[in-house]
Parts: sequence; C-alpha cells; structure tokens
Amino acid sequence: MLNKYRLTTGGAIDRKVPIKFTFNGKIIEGYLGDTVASALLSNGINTTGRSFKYHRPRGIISAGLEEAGTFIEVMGKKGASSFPATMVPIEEGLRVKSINCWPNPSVDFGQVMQLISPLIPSGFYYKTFFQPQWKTFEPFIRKMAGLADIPESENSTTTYDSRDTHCEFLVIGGGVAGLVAALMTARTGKRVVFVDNHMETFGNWSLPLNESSSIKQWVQTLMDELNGYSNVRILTKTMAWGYREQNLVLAYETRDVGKRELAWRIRSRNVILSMGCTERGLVFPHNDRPGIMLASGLLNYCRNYAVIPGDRIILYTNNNSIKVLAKALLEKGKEIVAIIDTHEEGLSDYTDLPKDIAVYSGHEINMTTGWNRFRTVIASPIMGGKSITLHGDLLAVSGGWNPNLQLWIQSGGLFSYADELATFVPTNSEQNVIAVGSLAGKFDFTGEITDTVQKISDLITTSGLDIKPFQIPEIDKLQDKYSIRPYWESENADVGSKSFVDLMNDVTLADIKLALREGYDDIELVKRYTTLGMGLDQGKTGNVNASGIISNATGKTLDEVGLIKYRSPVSPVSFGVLGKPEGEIVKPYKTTPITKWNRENGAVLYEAGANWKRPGYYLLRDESMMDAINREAMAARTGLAIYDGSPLATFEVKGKDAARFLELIFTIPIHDIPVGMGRYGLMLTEEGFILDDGVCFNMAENWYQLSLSTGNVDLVHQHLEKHLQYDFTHLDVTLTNLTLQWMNATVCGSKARTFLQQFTTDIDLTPEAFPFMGIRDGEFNGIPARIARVSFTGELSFEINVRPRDLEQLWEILVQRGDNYGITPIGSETNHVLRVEKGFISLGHEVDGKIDPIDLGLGWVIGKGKKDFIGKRAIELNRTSKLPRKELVGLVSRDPHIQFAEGSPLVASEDNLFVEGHVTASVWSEINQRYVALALLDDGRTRMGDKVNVRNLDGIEAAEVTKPCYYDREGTKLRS
Amino acid sequence: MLIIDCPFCGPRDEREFEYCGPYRERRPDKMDNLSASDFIDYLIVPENPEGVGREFWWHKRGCGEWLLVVRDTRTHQILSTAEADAE
Amino acid sequence: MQKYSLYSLVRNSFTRHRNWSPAWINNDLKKSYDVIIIGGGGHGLATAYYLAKDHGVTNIAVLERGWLGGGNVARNTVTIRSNYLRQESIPFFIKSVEMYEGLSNELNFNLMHSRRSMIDIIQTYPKLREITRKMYTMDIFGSTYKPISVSEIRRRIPTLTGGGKDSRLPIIAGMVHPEGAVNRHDAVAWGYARAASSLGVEIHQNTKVNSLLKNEDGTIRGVSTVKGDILADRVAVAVSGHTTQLTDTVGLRLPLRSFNLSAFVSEPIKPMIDVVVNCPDLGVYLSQTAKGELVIGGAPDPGQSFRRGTNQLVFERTVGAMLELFPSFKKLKLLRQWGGTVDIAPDASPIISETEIPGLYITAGWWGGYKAIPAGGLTFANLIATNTPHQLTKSFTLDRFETLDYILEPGTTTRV
Repeated sequence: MLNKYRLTTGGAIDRKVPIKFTFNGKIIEGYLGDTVASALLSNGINTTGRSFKYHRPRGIISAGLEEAGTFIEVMGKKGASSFPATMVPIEEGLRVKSINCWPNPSVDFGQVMQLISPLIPSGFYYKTFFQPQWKTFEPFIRKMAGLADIPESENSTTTYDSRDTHCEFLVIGGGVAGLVAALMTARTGKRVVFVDNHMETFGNWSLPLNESSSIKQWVQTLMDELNGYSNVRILTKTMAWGYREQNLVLAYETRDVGKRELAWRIRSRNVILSMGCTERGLVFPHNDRPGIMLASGLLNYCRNYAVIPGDRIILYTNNNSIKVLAKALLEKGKEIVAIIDTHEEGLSDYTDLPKDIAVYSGHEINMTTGWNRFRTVIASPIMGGKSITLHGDLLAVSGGWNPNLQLWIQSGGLFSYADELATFVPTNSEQNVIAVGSLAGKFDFTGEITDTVQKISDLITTSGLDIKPFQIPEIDKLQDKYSIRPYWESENADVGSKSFVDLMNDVTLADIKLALREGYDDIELVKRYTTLGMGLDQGKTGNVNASGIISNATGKTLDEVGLIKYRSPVSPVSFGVLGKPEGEIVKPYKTTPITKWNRENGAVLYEAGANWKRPGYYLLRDESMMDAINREAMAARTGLAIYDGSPLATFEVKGKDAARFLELIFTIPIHDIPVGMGRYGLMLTEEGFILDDGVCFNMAENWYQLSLSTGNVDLVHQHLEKHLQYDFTHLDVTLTNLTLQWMNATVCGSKARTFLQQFTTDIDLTPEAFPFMGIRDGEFNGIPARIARVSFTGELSFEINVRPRDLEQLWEILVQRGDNYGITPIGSETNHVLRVEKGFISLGHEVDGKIDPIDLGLGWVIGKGKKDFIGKRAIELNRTSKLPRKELVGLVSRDPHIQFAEGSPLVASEDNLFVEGHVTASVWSEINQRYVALALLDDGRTRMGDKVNVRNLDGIEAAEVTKPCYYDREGTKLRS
Repeated sequence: MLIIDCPFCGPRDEREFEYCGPYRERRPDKMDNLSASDFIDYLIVPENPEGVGREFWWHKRGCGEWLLVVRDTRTHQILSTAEADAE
Repeated sequence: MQKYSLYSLVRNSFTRHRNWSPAWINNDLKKSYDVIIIGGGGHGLATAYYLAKDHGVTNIAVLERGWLGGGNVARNTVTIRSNYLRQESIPFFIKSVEMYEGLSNELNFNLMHSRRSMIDIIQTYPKLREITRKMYTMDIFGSTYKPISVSEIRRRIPTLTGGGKDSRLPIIAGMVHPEGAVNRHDAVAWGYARAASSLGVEIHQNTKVNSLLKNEDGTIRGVSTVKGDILADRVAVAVSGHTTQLTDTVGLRLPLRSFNLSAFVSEPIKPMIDVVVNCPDLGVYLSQTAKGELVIGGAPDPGQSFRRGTNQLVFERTVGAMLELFPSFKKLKLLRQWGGTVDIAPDASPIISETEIPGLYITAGWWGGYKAIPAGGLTFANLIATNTPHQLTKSFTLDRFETLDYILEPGTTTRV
C-alpha cells in the first residue's frame, strides 16, 4: 500500500505534489518535501541498508545528519556517492540505491559474514592472515571492504563551484538559539551569515522537552524580522563542515543534490555556534534492527513528514526527553505498548499518560528479536528480577543528548564532562567563537534563550557595536528541566549478543571491552583498534557512549577518558567542490608573440619551464624529430639560425648603489664592467647553491640589466627582493622584473652579421664597434631595439630585444629576408645540443646538489679580489669537506654511435659499484658525427684521458674523460 | 589559509603572499669574521618555536613589501605584521 | 607473548575472546634505565625492539607523551618505497622495505603489508630526466624502476582518465616501482610495542618529557618528565616533529624546522586502485586501503607549524591536482582529514646521529619516515648500543652540516 504509514494531516510535505523515485530499482512514491528516508518509511520499507562489517540488515535510524543506518548512492546524471538517506530530498526521476549490499538490502549475500562473526571481533585481522603471507588473503578482504563504487560521472550534470565571503558574525545552526543570535546580530547592521543544514526549518530546538504553540508564533515573528534585513545572508541546506585557523569556516551547500554543489569559505570576525545537540542511542543487545529508531528521529518524521512507521510502539529511555514523543504519538492515535525507563523511579512523570501504557521503570532491554523488522523486546529490572516480553513493531530509544561539538573542537575548543547532563559541553576556545543554546549545555528552553541573549549581548558590546534590547518571551507553563541518568551499557546483557555502540562501523560493546582487555586503553587506541567513530556518520550517535563505557571499565573519570577527537569534516563533502583541477585556467601557459607563426611553421610546442610553452623543434614535412634537430643544429653551425628567446628572464637594476648590490648578488666583479658591455656570472644562494646563471649588462651609470635563465625567474625575483628589502636596505637600488616586457629574436651563425647588416639600423654591428658581450640600444629596421651580443650556442649571435608588440613584425621580416641565407628557426632541443657541444651549463642538467662554480670549471667567474658575495662563505666552507668534488667533464665513447643515457651513473669498476658521478647530458652532435656527453665526476678535472665506467641497465660501457667542450674550444666563433 | 594584515594594504588573503622562510638575523657585514659554527648557526639553524615565532612573507601580488610576520605556530594566530626591516 | 594465529583466533572464539592477554605490559616507572627512548611512535618502538633483540639491551623505557603510536606513525599515508636518487639513501630504504616484508611474521602481528607497486606519473621533461637518473642509480643497488607507457598506465589505473594530450600537463611517461607497498600504520606501532614488551622493554604512555638533563661533565643524565626525573646514561630522542623542543632544553641547537603535513581519506569504495599512484609534477599521491578508503597526500604547508591541522589552500590544491588526473573522483567524498608535524633538515634527508652531548642520540628530520621505521629502528639501535653509526646511515649524521655536505633528494627539498 502506498504511503501506508503516512498520517492524513500535518507535516511540512505537500500532498498535492506526489513524486515518484526509485530505490534499488523499485518505484517509490512520496510527496514534495519528503526525503528519501521519510518516503521509504512512509511506504513501510524497513530494511534499507546493510552494515559495514557483518552485513546486518539496517533501517533508518534518525532524521538528520547523524544517520548511521542508511546511506544511499544517487545514480544517473546527478550521481553522488554515499549520502545519508535522511538528507536527500526526493524529486521526480531520482534514482537511488543502498550501498554495501548485493543484490539488495533484503537479500544480501554479504550476510554470510554474520555466520563467522564470532571469529571476527575487532582487530581480528591483526592476529591472523599473515601466515604464510597477507597477500594470499588480501584480495578477499579487500573485496568485502568498501561501500559503493564511484558513481558514474561520464554524463554528469552536476556543477561544482566555490564562493568566498566574509562577515562580522557567522551563526551556524538554525535552531531557536541560532535564530535569536542571528536576529540580534542582524540588528547591528553588520554583515551576518546564517547557516543551517536543513531546508527551511528554523527555530526548532533540539531537545523536545515541551511543546508550546506560542513558541512557534514567537519564532515566526523572529523569522519575519530576520528576513527583512539585507545585511543577512541565509544559507539553507548548507553544512558547516570545517573550522580552520583565523575563524575560517568551510561550508557545503547541497540545496540541489546532484545539480549544483557549492563550497563556501566564510571568514568571520566572530563565529557563533548554535548547532544544538544530537540524541545518542542506547547500548543494548541487538539494538540495530530495522524498526529501532532514535526517539528524536521518530518525532521528526511525525512532525515534519507526517510519517509514523509503526503501529505498536515501544519507547526506551534513560532521560525525560522522550515524553514529548509519547504525547505526539498518542495525539496521532498511535498505540504505545510500553515505556521502558532505566531509572527506578522513572525520569518523567508518566502519570498524565493514559493508564493502559505500561511503564517499566528501572528496567533495561536484554534482547530484541526480528530479522528484517524489529518484533519483540525482552526487558528485565536492572536490579534483577523477572523479565518481560513485549511485542511491537517500532522501538524508539533515547540515550540522552550530546552537544554537537565537532566544529567547536575543530576551532581549538576545549570541553568537559557535565554530570547533570551526562555528556560533554564546551568550555574555552582559542578563537573568536562562542557556543550558545543546547550546544552550550543549556537544555531547557528558557535557559537556552536567556543564555543566548546574554552571550550575544556581551559579544555585540565587546565588538563596540550598539546593542538593541531583546525581549525574552514569557512562555507559560514550561516545565522542561532535563533529567537524565547515565546508562552506558546494559548491566545484565548476555555477553555473546551484539550490543552496537557504532552502528555504522559495526563496533560492539564486546569489541570495546576486548580492546581494553588487550591494553588498548586510551580512547584513541580504542578508536583505532575497533574503528569506532570512523564511519561515514563520524560517530555522531555513538562516541559519547563509548567514552562512558570506557570510563565504566577503566575507573577513569569521563574527563580523563575524554572524547574521540572529531576530525574535519563534520560530515562527508564531495571532492568536486573542494578543488578545481588546475587546468589552463588556473595555471595558464605563457606564450610568446610569435606563437601563431610557430604553430603555422611546424613547431612542436611544449612547456619548457616557468609555464612557458615554446618550440622544442620545427618539423618540416615528414621529418623525424632527430632529423629536425640535426638540420637545425647544422644550420646554426654552418649558416644562419633564428631562435625565439623571449622567455629569458630580464631584470633591471637601477640606483646609485646598483653595482654594490650586484657585487653581492653575483660571483663576478661588477664594478669594472664597462658601459655597453656585459659579463657572464653565477648567482648563488647563501647556502652556496647555484641559483641561476646569466649576464649582467652595464647599460649606463647606475643602471644594469640582468639577462637570466627562464625557469628560475620566480625564485630569483624572491631572492633579489629578500636581500634588497631586508639585508641591504642601506643601498639605493630599485629592482624591476622586465621579463614580460622584453621579447627577443636571436640570430646566430657565422652569417649572422652579414645578414643583419642588410637592415636599416643605427647600431654599428661591426666587431670593433660591437664586440662580444656588448649591448646596444637603437633602431633596427624601424623598430626600437636593444641588441646584445651574447651566445648560448657558441656561434656569432645577436639577441635582438624588442617590445612584445614588435616581435612578430621583426621575426617575420628576419625570416623573410633570411630566406637567401637559408635562415632556419631552431627550437629549444636544438639549443640544448648546441650548448652541450660547447660545454655551456644548463641549470637543470649540470647543477646537482652542492655543485659550485669551480666544479663547473667556472672558477673564473668568481671575482678574485672579491671580499664578499652571497654564497661565498658557504662554498668555501663546503670545500673544507673531505668528500671529493663532482667536477664537470666531457665523456666520449670509443664508438661514436654509442650514446650514454642521460642520468647514467659512473661507477668505480665492474666490481665496485660506488657511484662517482653521472651523465648530465648526452646528445648526437651532427657537426662531430658522434655522440657527445657531459658528466659530473668525482675529481673529474684531474682525470682527463682516463677511462671511466658508465653503467646502464645492460651493464657497463667504457668512456673516456675529456674536456667538456666539443666545438670551437678557443671560442673564436662566438667572439668573431 | 591565513589572512595576513599587510601594514600597507590591510588584511589580505594568503594567496597574495609568498612564504619566505623563518626569521634570521640580517646578513652580517663581515661574513668572514664569523666562526664556522656561528656561520652554520646563522645559515641553517632557525628558530623553531612551538609557540610564537617569526617568519618572512613577501606580499608579491600586492605592494611587494617584505614583511615580518609574528605567528603562533600552535594556533596560527598572527600577532603582528610589519615591514621586515623596521627597527 | 600470546601467539596470534588463525588457530588461536578460533580457539579464543569459543571463550568469546575473553582470554586474550594484553598486547603489552604496564609497568611502574623506575628511577633509572640503561636506555631511555623518548617517543612511543614507530621509530621509538622499533628502536627499542632492535636494542632488545639484536643487542640484548632490555632495561629500556620508552616514554610517550600521549598514547602509543599517536604521533606521525598514525598520521602518514603508509607509503613504502625505495625509489631514491642518492647512493647514501637507496641502500637504507631498500633495507627498510625488505624488513617490512618479513615483519608481520617476525612480530607475529599482521601489518597487512601489501606490496602494490608504485606508479609514478610523469608530466614534465625535467621530472622525466630526474626519474630516469633515479632508475639507473637504483638499479645498481637492486631497487627497481621500470618505464611504462602511457597506455599501460591507463590500463593499470583505469580511473586515471585525466592528463590527456590536450590537458595542461599531459602525461608523458610513467615509471613502476614494484617494491612500492602500503600497510597498516597502527599495526606497525602496536606490533613493535607488543614484541618489544615481550622482550622486557617498558612502555610508558602519558609520560611527557619536559626536558633533558645533563651531568656537570656535559654528558647526558636523564630526563625530567611529568612523572618526575628518570636517569639513564643513554637517551635517545625519537620524537620527529618535536625534536628541537627537547634538544633546546640542553642548549643543543639543531638545523630543523617543523612543518605541518596533512593527508585525507575518501569514503570507502570498492577496490579500484591496486597500486600507489604518485604524481610528482602535480604534487599528489594516493592509494587505496584494505578498507576501501583512498588515502591522499600532498605538499607540506608553508610556514612552520605545530598545529596538526589542514591548510585549506594546500588541501584544495591537492584535491584539484587529484581531480586533474582522476576527474571521476569529484563524485567521491572527503571522509576525514588530519595533519602531522614533521621536522625537516636543510637537505630534507634524515638525521640519525650522536650529538655533542655524550649519551644523547637523535633520530629526526624524517619526512616520509614511515617507510624508514624498520631500518631506522635497526640502525638507531645499533648506534645507541655501539656508539658507532650503522653502515647504512653513516651519511645521515649531524656532522654533515658542519661542512654543508647535504644529501639532496630532488623533489623533497624546501628551498625557503
């Protein structure tokens, strides 16, 4: 029968809008306003899930985020994994299924696990399955574990997004205390954000200790006023899940499950937590059957969804909050079979209830029966006596109430055990956060409101804002003093029966006792040994019971035992809202102005450091990569080549102390660089690492320009700023990063000068007027240009720097008019070959660990007379070490066609595999018609001509140590 | 994710800044005068307090200033932010 | 020690598991010991075990400020591997991986050690170069790195659908490290504790050491704890993350900085990834536990920290990196996250060393120290027992910093 358990009136559902959805393939009908859980309950579907370990049938336990019984996967385009069934609103066409069972929750093959359950107490896996080895057993165990598969995402229509906001007051929790807090803070006119994880249910209070229609009216007036404030942002269906430093609160909005999920990062000067409390269960044998619910859950279904999924109801409690449920059920015409109260005199006054309700005070439940649905309880007096058997179809339990401390604890908040409440309440936090309402341990209505008003008034006053008086309503006849008798476990239960403490992870009382017996006596050890509180529900209904049980067993006070540390998140959050893939948007490529030209001319582009996407080589027709590189290399060596050097880092250093500053930054002397000339040098960190290499040009008096490598620009910039702004503040220097302001086309090859001289330029390109390492400003073919005679290829080379807007024009005219000279664009792979042939270093290859300039054969870049530069002391100290130096050498094989693999170690001998160096670069040198390599080798420079052993995966290859230069050793070409 | 109260730009998100290492003394004028062990101390033995510590942040995507941030390493609460070279 | 086996489990099920004896013995704290080990985490407990087993030193107290194994051994991502670059490092980690493989049987405690293979996903050429060099060097010492094609990567990790040709960082290569493994971190701590206890080692929880004590002649005298002073001629500090908090109390200054390193797990899902996936270019790695949760780790937070929290920026970047390669994981949920404090040396390599204070030994600078627990314990025990560094850790001594002889492992250094 459809909606068998639906009441004819009441509830916040719209009976005019029926909605069909499927649950495990079966069509279910509910109404607008239903959750999956309420719709299932109203249709009498009891068994809605299976437990994690034993695959016991489970039903729906609560009506909220604390749900530990039923998790579902949303299927289809809106697919989402593992939501509590209590938190997913139904809508037409929704398809959901239970997790962790096959084929369905009623007939789950996994239930064979129950047969062997005596063998698998907590931690059983630590004691077995390792002889002979774990891997024999692992596949089976792994298969049993895990809940669902990943939901399909191929055709997903879900969008994920995130927002940042900030406010003066953030109120989390939309109960009555939260509502009061939101309204009072709203009246200050400051920005308020009000977050609640329900749809539209403001002004409730967690503990149902009384009912009063006048409260409802009052709440409505508060809500109406709050809705009128434009400074208040109300986020419904939004769960605050994380609390970070500096009052950063993270929230997860799922107003529209499967359509749009949103992450909020909310920074608030003050945070007001009013998240109320959650009812905990009672620990008794077989307390997990479908049809056993939390009293608060049942009350919620009764009130908000007009569902009472049973006809003969038994109530079981250790506190007086259940009486409101009793009255509500009676009001709806339901039969209450009995009330079992653990206190010998009863915690409530039951005399005003109908006389036919049996009240068993001082009793506890020793056993329940019913497979797919709860059927009977056997209870007996706690002090001993005759047991009774009660038949029913629904058992509602209340084990007391726990403040929802999760965010409080995440904020750095402390807490302590309150005897009269039999639970933990907040004390102090290290952040600007206060707890109000029942979260703060104020469990009665008047106390809750008075306390909230007082705390918020104080907060507003200390914030220096004006406080508007807040009228506390006089609600008549509220007798809502909370009373509870701690009852952590049944006294007379059969030890063999399963009393669940954590329903989600199937952790029983016996498991906790076993852990304690075996020495896992700290609550965190118990947690890890038994997996208590580590399930999807994060132990919201079980953890405090566990503390009580441990306290009972160990004799420690509850404050000594403490509470399992709640970790972020409060409830699971989709990864989709937590991180955006980096992609092109977050980490865009930098491209040079001639990228279009490059693409049209066969360039193979890829990232080459610092996000620059640039040509590796240019493919002509059906050339191979090797062919292309060889062709390009030969063009540079024998004719004319052009290279897009735009990504090179450029810094400008100006000021009257510019030279003094650079003397400290570079290894080279700066003061004697003539105007219009540059000098190659290295930049070290204070620890002696080579940070970068490049050329320092003297542009004019007190004006230098640094041309550095591409990849390290950010680190170099930071390094320069650090020293300028902290160590050398007495120096008059300004530093500007011009990397993106100067683009360049580098023309190289022996014909470079002849070629460039054909263009109109006011720069004298003759070797006398413009020597190697010179730099000149002027016009080139009508374009403002700064030309530098530096060379990374070993050829005569002119680096023509222009504004970004001019590069394309410059490049095209050079390529066009260079046609007669066979001008050839070359990429970074070719550049690499050319520099290896010359033995020029590249940071990514030849710099390894504590390599210093001398190791690289660049001792000459260290100014001999320099008293100080950054890193000088460190390399001197490092050179006092007894360890050998790794020095840069060349390596050649006897057979020119044998290539040593880059990265291969050099070992002492076949028998002694001590690593004495490695191959840093290895290329085919077309001009030499052989492979050539560079390497770092222990004391390499003293070993010229020696044989060394290159070891690769196939064995050892002999190599001869040479000078690290294979082309134009005298350097006449680049100086020409 | 911190909010750093830049003395020049006001409170700004951590994403505008770069962490630039723990506090160290200003670079000695005469590095060679330090003993080897004093030099090592200066170079690689930083303060490592469980509590209030000092560190450098660079407001790279802001005013560009080099800042000294005093932060509690247990709570991440920032106690003060100032120009690094302020006396 | 009560033996664990399937047989004992079955036998105990008849008595409803009421006859299991405690895994370790609680003793009263004595006034003095031969050796005090500060830190009841992986390294501390392993060191105690090997001191007792290999060197016959059993008058040992392991002092833990909180609960057993509650420090970094409970806060890491259980990734075990030996793919290092330097000859100073590789043999040590090979030894540790080998020891782990036989440890369940040795300790009679199932560590659920699962040799899974680790697959490195390479997306940039500099990384490819670095990893190729690693491959050649590792091969010398017998650790394996095998190149695999992109299509083979996708075959072995079907959920890895990102990093395609047109993506920001296309996958260009991959490397398999067959020795890569995961296991159960709690079991490592408990297994060592139980085995050490059975050899006579005392383990004292909730015994925070406030300071170290020196004799007038400058040698170590003992420790001052919340439960009073305890004396020993040899004191070993194994509190990675908080090393300087102790050494500062005797004026010993160490080149260590403490950082927060965080990790997180997804909800449990059915088995889907049976290797450890490491994506060094994006800075994320993950594996799936026996329970079905994905364990995911990333980079350390900027700035020193003892907070054991999560830096939201770093976390979101890590999630973003994961989604870049595993887009379908956007539908999965974050279940739990946490942080741990690691102390890192300037070269990011470990320190297992005597100190300038005779009798005081430290094991510190562990970043990824979980994989090093067995060999770290073995070699540290050797150092404490013999006062000479073990062959495998002779480069990891403190004196390397006197001449700045760093052992630099690429990809692990913090340069600021």
